[in-house]
Amino acid sequence: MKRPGYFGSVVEAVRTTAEGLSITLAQYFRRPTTVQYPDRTAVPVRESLPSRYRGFLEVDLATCTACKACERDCPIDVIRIDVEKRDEGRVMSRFDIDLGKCMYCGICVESCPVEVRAEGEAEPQKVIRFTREFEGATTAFPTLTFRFIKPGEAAPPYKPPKKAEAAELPPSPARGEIARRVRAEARVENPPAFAAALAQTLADRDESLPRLLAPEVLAARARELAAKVDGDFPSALVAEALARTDCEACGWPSCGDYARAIASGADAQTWKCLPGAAKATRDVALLVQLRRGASPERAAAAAADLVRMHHRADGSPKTALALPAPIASTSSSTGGGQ
Amino acid sequence: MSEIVIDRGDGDEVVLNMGPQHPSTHGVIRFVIRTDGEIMKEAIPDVGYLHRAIEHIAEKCTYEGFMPYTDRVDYVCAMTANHAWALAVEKLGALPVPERAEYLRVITDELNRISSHAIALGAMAMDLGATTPFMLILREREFVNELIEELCGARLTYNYHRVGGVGWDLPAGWRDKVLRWCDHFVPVIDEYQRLIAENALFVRRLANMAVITAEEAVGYGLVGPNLRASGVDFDVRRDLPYSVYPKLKFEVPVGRGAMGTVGDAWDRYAVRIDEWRQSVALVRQALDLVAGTPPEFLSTPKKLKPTGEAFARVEAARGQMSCYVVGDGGANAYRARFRTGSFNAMQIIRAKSRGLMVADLVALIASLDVVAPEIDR
Amino acid sequence: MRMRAAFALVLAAAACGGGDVAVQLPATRAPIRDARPTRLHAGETLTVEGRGGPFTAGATTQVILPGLRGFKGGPMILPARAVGPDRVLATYDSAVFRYTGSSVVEVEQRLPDGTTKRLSSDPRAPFAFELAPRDVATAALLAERALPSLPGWLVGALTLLLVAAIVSLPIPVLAGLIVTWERKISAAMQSRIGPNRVGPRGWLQWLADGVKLLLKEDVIPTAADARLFRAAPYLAFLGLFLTFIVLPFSRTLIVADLDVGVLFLVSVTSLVVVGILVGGWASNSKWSLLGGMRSAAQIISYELPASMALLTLVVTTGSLRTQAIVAAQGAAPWDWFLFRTPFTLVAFVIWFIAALAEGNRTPFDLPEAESELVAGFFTEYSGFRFSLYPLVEWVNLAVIGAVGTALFLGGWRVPFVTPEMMATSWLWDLLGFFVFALKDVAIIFLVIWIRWTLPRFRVDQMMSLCWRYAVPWSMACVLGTLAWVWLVPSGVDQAARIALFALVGVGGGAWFALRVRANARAYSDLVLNEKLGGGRP
Repeated sequence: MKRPGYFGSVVEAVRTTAEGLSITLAQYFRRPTTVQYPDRTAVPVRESLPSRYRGFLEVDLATCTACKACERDCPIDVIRIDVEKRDEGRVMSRFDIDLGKCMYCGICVESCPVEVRAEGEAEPQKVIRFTREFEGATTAFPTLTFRFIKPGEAAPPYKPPKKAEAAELPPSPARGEIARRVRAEARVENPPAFAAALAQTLADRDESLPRLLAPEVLAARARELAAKVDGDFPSALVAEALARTDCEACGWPSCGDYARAIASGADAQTWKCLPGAAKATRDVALLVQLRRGASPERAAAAAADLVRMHHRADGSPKTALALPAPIASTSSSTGGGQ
Repeated sequence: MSEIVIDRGDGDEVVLNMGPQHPSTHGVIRFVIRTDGEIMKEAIPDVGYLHRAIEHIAEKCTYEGFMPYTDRVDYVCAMTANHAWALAVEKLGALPVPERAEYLRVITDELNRISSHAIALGAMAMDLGATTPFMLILREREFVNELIEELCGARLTYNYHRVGGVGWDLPAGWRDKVLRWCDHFVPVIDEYQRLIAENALFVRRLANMAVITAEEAVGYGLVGPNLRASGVDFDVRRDLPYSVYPKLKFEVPVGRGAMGTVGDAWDRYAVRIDEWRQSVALVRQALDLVAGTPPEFLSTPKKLKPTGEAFARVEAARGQMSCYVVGDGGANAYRARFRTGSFNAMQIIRAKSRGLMVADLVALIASLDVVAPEIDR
Repeated sequence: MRMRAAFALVLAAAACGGGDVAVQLPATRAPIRDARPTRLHAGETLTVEGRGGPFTAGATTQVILPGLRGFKGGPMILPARAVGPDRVLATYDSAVFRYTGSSVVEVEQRLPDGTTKRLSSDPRAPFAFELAPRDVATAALLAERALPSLPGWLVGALTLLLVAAIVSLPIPVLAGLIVTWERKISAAMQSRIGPNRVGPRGWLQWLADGVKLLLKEDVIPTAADARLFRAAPYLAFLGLFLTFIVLPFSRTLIVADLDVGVLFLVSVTSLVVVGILVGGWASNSKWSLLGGMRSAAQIISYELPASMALLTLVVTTGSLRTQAIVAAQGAAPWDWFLFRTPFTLVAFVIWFIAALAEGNRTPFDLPEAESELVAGFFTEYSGFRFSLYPLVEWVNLAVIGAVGTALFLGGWRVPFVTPEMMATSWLWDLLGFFVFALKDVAIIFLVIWIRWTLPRFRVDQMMSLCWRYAVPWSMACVLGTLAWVWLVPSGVDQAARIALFALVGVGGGAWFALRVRANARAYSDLVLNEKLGGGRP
């Protein structure tokens, strides 16, 4: 296309600029379309959402048959249902949905086999269904796990009536009531509960020497590893025992290199894994001993000695191992920076 | 993170790092720019910051369960990604799809195309300094979001299409709402053109800039509006038709070099504006035709454990999106592979950046409409 | 110290050739009946303006004030010149005089043919000098008289500080109000609401933002040049603040009506460039440096067309003083310099574009292009130092508006109110200030409006616009105005002004209003979610 000349471009510039200005001025006098959430809306936003809106999930346990279809079909594994056998029969002891991780895809809703008639809804709903609740902003992740069965309680599964008797769908509370209640409970009860659970997990993973080298633990581990050591000694087995962080504290460029060195005998110092600490030393020592043909008991004793020689009681190394200096760039990489 | 090696031969050269956080890379993309201050010698893209191993996740999920993940392959135009996966799995398992579902798929695809182009065009204007067109067109996109929210409950990651159909049927009154919105939107397109697309400053920034010839476009594997803007008349909906597109009448806009050269950045802008109009026409036609279909919208396969391999393509907003799936008889796919338009567009940025200014680089990236989720998956 | 004796020489009756001139003087100013010798300091001027006549241009003219005893006791005689058939301008550069109580003013002209024409004022009319503290030196002199015990230099310094405080304290408030207004305008143009929570309808948002920035950590990059980094914003602020000295906010509200007002204005705004360059350099960041370099190139290039556009006005008025330029305009739109000649109209457009470029406003905001350089030359700044650069930018809007108003839009001239009426009562003066503020605000709106409509230029396009369009066209404007003022007879000139106003002002405005209406009609409001509805401020 012929480009406008010297004067033509001036005329074009003036014309199109004036046109643009007239459009923005016309916009200036229109009413804005933004809505001021949360306090200056005509109705609460929750009520203005369409009925199919995919907000928080809720479960009406009164009608849940504990078929676990939703747990099975969830592509992201956010639903956790525990079914126990108690004196009164099968009961659900846990029905948690982690709504922080959930991607609100709706597959769980589609896979639920039980339909119910929820109050105020024209269409039949499912037992697990979306609500129009969406306000979950929080500073603590645990509050996003909705626990529909409180810890310690149990919910019996629903037994749907036979086909012949089923004239109507079972009733269900209005959508959102259960979610609101559970959300409020989660906000209050979850953080301390999860904090306690975390403390317990950390205690279980205690890696101090008394725990690592307790006779039963050590013997069990020795037997476990003995089953895996078989003739040829793949370095992968050793690598599994190491921390696998490639931190180079041991002096080798990667964990794989250190593992191969141990496996081939090139490096006899098997206690150098800094992040792995006493646990890595114990496991590697067990593997080396088992490789040499020692029995699990002999290997356990030798490993215990080695660990005590090189680690303190809390699991930290006796000789200070420092991380080496970062490798200077050999090539002029994306330097300059900003 | 990759190592980019540059030999510092030229003393006048300045190496700039743009990204991965930057106001105008479209997502987390990093560019290493070698420039002499204003004119670039090279802009090297560094991708991978948004890699989420979606294709690997496909091997861990069932075929149906993977559908929400396809939303995230291109979250700006999620419906077409859904469609690609549904098509591929249906081909793999030779599954039937009800006609009503096909029309619903087309309606939602085209609505999503409109909202995706709204983001592309608005972001391009904003990258060049004009914030108002972006805000105004986002207001229109809000309407589309509201419509789809009423249809399927979500505004961005829809999970609407299913293997074997779609997830929900039309709600009552939705058809009229969409038609009302179409009537409202067509004058907005004209206003948008007057506001920014034909603005002399805007045209001067884009005309004759980063011209991509037809040979280059085909050679670098560009697809979609980028390809068509360079003069290559190819559209998957018309030339390799799928779904009910053979029953619908629409034109395929091709770059004409109206303000400069064929294949310049302005052509890529204009082609998307013309595609808006075509999408509105398609939505209207599909809404008319869907009324006459029987009400079944989903035929769920009983047991989905297919074997074999299948390849399907759709015309997403950013061009052809292909999906290749291999089944080995299990409930999960053995391999899923998505090929997206933005990934190829990254290569041409490096080639075209020589001689451009830094400000032009921003315009080039925006004109190619690259989005990070599509590049990295 | 400037003493302005404002008087009007009014034609008494239909006069042949000479005729009497009558003097009507503002009577409300208390006359100075001070017989002590009063000194005009060196370098200052005493200006006498007279209207009446007919005066012959080109004749040797002098104004005689017998009521002032001048050098060596004789009547004070001032060299003067006729700047029109009905105007005489007399200046004097330093004098000592005494007031003797007489109220006679005489204008004597020696015509080229050798004859002398003498016009005398009516002795019965009162004649008063005004000595109002309109500038710092006058105020200092008054203060010196009032406090004779303090040394003169101290009084002068204190006065300077006081005036500086009075002028500079409102500047942050002004910046804050402008930025809040800009946010509300941009919001309205983008179908949003803008700030509306802090203060009544959001008008205290600037205060909250300012306090927040003050409380932020002061981060200086390790490798940055700390002294320059700290100093740079203040250099920019200095360049901006100095322009307030010559802005005529009303007939009497001007800090100092410098003789070189326009020149001072143009030269002092280029101090901002130093601040920007130093800021960009001292940040030790490539992006900042790029932004600083771009900005320097831009501002320095656009100094030229800006100055030349203002030169057209100087040429029309014959004076660099801002008050003189305002006084040379009238209150009606067709008397503004905007419509004075077609060349001044083009000069206004060029000056406006150049002012946008100097202020780093879109479409010339490459130095701070958010989408490219994060924030350009002030990327590394945070906290209070950061707030200074945008403060400079926003107050610059007010300065652009003030300069445009004063020089092109008639300044503080109010319709149906003459400057003499203004001299009588401070209420008229205040009205003049309000009119000035109104016009200033209109220009600010225009600048903001343009910012939120247009995309930005690229560096080379911006340079090309300057050197290929703005500079030659502004030169042409200067020449054209010169030719116009020289050649075009006054009747045609008057008719042309009104025609230009009708064509461009009224006609253009009407066309634009029609486009706005067409665009407003083309858009149909749509509400899909009736329950939520639309925006409610």
